[in-house]
Amino acid sequence: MKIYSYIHGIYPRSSDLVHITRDLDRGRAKVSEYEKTLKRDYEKLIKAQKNAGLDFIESGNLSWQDIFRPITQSTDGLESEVITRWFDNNTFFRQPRITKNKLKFDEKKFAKFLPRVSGKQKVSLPSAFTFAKSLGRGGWSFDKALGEITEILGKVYNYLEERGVSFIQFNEPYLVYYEPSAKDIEQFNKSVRKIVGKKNGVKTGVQFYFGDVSKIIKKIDLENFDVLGIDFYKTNPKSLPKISIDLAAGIVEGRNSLIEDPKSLEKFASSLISKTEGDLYITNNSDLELLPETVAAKKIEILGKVQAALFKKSAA
Amino acid sequence: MGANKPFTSADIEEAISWGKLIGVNYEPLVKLLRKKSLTASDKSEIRKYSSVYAVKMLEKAGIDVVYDGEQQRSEMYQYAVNLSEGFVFRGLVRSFDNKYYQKAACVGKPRIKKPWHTDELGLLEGITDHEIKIPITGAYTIAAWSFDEYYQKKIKGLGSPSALSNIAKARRQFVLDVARNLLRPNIKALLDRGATWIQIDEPAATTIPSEVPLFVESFNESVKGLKGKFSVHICFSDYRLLFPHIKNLENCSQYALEFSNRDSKKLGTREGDRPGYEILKWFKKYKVPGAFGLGVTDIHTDFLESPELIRDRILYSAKILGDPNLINPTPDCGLRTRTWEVAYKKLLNTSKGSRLAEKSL
Repeated sequence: MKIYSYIHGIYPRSSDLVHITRDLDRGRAKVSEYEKTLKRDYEKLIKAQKNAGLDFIESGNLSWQDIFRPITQSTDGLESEVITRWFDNNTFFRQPRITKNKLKFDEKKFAKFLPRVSGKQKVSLPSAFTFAKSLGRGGWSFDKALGEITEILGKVYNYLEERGVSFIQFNEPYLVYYEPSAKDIEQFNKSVRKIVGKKNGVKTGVQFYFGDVSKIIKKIDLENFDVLGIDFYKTNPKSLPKISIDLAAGIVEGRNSLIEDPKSLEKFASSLISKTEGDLYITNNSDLELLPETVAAKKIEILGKVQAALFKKSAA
Repeated sequence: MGANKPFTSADIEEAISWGKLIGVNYEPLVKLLRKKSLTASDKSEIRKYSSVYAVKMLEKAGIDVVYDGEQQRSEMYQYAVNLSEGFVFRGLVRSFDNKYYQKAACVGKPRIKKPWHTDELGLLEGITDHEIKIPITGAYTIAAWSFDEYYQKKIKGLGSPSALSNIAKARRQFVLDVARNLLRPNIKALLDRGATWIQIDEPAATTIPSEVPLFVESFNESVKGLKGKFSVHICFSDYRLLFPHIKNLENCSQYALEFSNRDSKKLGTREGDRPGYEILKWFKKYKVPGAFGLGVTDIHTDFLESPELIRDRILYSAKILGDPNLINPTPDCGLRTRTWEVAYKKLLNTSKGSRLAEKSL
């Protein structure tokens, strides 16, 4: 069994980057100044992940205004509009809305939101199911909307695969935050199957967060994934069956600034080794963007320390 | 103009042109703005003018019940927490798009450091003869918008049922301590100073659906036994989650809610024409007593609602509630993300729309 670590989701911006985006909005800064500051944030984040010894490196989605925006802005037929609360958090997204009968994805536009990273690049995307559930659908049925979004996300997935990304993760909070029906889960499985199709070497994961995955785990088609991510701030490990694929343990809390004790996390993560037939990954439970950047940076260090301790223990 | 930089001629021109429009004696302000260096006392005076301008702008726009748009406060959460013991700021966290707020962690039992808004009330009383409504950030929101490094510090057993139960208990204790130790003394101080209407701002009220009863408990704890007019402002929320618990709010005479954000921009008062206002039917159905601060302009866009659109929003709501006297038209929420030009026009059209609605009723 191997032990890996990574972060996922949108990473918070530094205060410099926050200030320059505000100034840009108010016409007080130039685009070139913003791009320079953004590039500095990317470099700092990548360095932090590498210094912590994380195995897969994310670019942090630093230019993303929310989890859906880059896809919305790269797709003709989708627009962002109504400001809507992101689950039970004090942060909001602009609800995507379908405005045309047929959606058309533009990979060149999307590419601008995802800088290349040297090493094993990992990318976090919204799952099609959460995306479709979050849409302002107008007159569209959910089935039709999900079908269209699945197709778009399929194109995103293929584009990333062709680009040589090592690991693509789908973030799926909707299915565990709410009480899904059997049909919801079936639709989720079908949508993922369509997107992932025949995987060509790119590792594919799903991260469930903001809710208890034990309610649905037996109905999730795990064959679609290589890695199953669980939010252990919401899921009791004792309620889980043995996982047949790799397990990504969300053990660093993305919604509280309390810095976790690495020893306690190491002990907890050790107890999860027997829960999986595959490898163990340690990660954050939900996006770190709900934390200030300085706190998120400490959480990356914690992940590195926990992984190193687990590795040392397993080598002993 | 950035912090500690001289005011530009454009800034001074703006002070003059707004001063002329809203009827403020701007000469002393302009004299200050032209100074090459400003003393602490000068800066304090300029800040006071910011309240003068805000109040006079509202009066000029025809708004009946006024305040200064929180000019003396940095931000609704940050200002309150800065004046409270038991909190340390951890850094910027996103609200939406490129809008961020400074988020604090609770590191000790919350206690009042000094009254938050009594000076502000004194200032406003010297500026206007209109009725004043003072907003104050509510206990549930202060707790919900803070990290918790104090009440949750000793909880162990990641993911276990006991840990989840202990987290819920910790959250309740945090919220009620804020209500008792921060809100209540502040509200009492304002009432003692002469405030007649205090609006408790609770944008976080429906964030966690299972905690809506806790929000209600904290509101009641904040105002229990105090004599004054109290209202609650909740915005950008799924209002359905307030029911039935909102019926248990005590001493609350008005619900200031946001509706324009989700409403159609087309005119119309027929059934179904105003999707943003349908939620009023729930208040009627559950027989929730009280009036409504009816949000009639969207504060997140520069789209300028016409007086006719605002009129239709008021009339539609009056039809649902059955009594137009229960309606006080307002913007959905604070206008801080708009320019002064846009804010003024929206407020002006709010009062024009209200006058049109009165004619139709």
